[in-house]
Amino acid sequence: MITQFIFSILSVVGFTIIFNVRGKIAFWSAIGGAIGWIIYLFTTKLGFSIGISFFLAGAWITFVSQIIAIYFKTPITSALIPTLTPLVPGGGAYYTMFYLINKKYSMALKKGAETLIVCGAIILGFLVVSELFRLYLNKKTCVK
Amino acid sequence: MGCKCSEYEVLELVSFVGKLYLKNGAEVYKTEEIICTIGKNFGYEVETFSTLTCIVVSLSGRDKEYHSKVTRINSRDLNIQKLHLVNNLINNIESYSYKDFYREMTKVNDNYFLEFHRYVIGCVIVGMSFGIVFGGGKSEAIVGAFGGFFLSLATSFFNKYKINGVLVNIAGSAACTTVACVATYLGYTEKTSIIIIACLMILVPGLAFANAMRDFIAGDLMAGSSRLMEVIMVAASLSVGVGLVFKIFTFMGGVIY
Repeated sequence: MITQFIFSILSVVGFTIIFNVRGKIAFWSAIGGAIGWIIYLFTTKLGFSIGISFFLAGAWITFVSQIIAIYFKTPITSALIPTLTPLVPGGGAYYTMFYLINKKYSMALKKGAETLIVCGAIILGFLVVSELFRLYLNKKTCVK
Repeated sequence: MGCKCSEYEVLELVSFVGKLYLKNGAEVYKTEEIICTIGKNFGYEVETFSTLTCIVVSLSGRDKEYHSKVTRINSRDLNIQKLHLVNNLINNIESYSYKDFYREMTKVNDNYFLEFHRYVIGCVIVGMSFGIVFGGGKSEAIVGAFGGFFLSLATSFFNKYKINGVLVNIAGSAACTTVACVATYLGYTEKTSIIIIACLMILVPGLAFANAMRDFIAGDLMAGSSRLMEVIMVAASLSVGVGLVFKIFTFMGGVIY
């Protein structure tokens, strides 16, 4: 688990370099993204289904990037993109293609459905947290 | 404060900033918001309609006439540093005069590019670390680093000559798949799939995916669905690149685990 944590930090750092995010934003989003990956691993180890674990990871990542965006006064995109990219189901899409090439259609269908579920779960987590944040910010401005 | 500048100048500034913002990977609804904010700050009512490929701005002038401008956007890449700087400038817009603001924006547009060596280093780090994150060992990490290196060389070489994005993705995925297949053939590793996924994560459309989500949630269905098409297109081109090399490799007698 610890090696996984260290190398997921490194991978998010790599993405921040590619997408040209600099300074403290890169540092904090690396740590947030690594914790998101660890949440996914931990919840699958506890026996949660793949949809729920990706839902939790997506919700956490959105939460972190909203906090970073408010604290460093930057668009949410700049923290969200490097942290979200490791969760994007590239592996699922790859295996779908791999089984299609080898003519194992039932396996390909299974992997494809899994990929779609993961995408939907991430989107749902993102939606819930960002709506909550929007409501909170609106309330704050109304009280003022 | 902005009463001195004419309709022409405001239109010019607004569409320049919109183009700069959208070109570097921002969401469409955010761009529209920014255009309206700048127009209001300089004393005009500005309305806009943006898609991923063009921005239409219309402005009601003091002389009771409407002015409008269409700006085309023909290339998109992603550079978050620029987005951050533009956002900072817009947050402090009250402290700039028109000329200063335009000059600062031009400065942002002309500088802050992603250097070549940073891109290569980033690709190598991503390829190496995902090799371990997805369950490989030392040898997968090393081969993944090589894959990321060749992938970055291939994509930046193709980007230099402004070749279509689909072809760039095909070339990148083919490059890293070739590295993985050769390493498997020479016997360095037995987990070909892990290496290929690790390298492909560099090209996976995370930005387009995130922006499609955010546009959909903000209610901009058109921009969201065109972003989604971009995601599907990139994914399809990646799998074409990988599949091509796989076919050749298995035809020549290799085995993929």
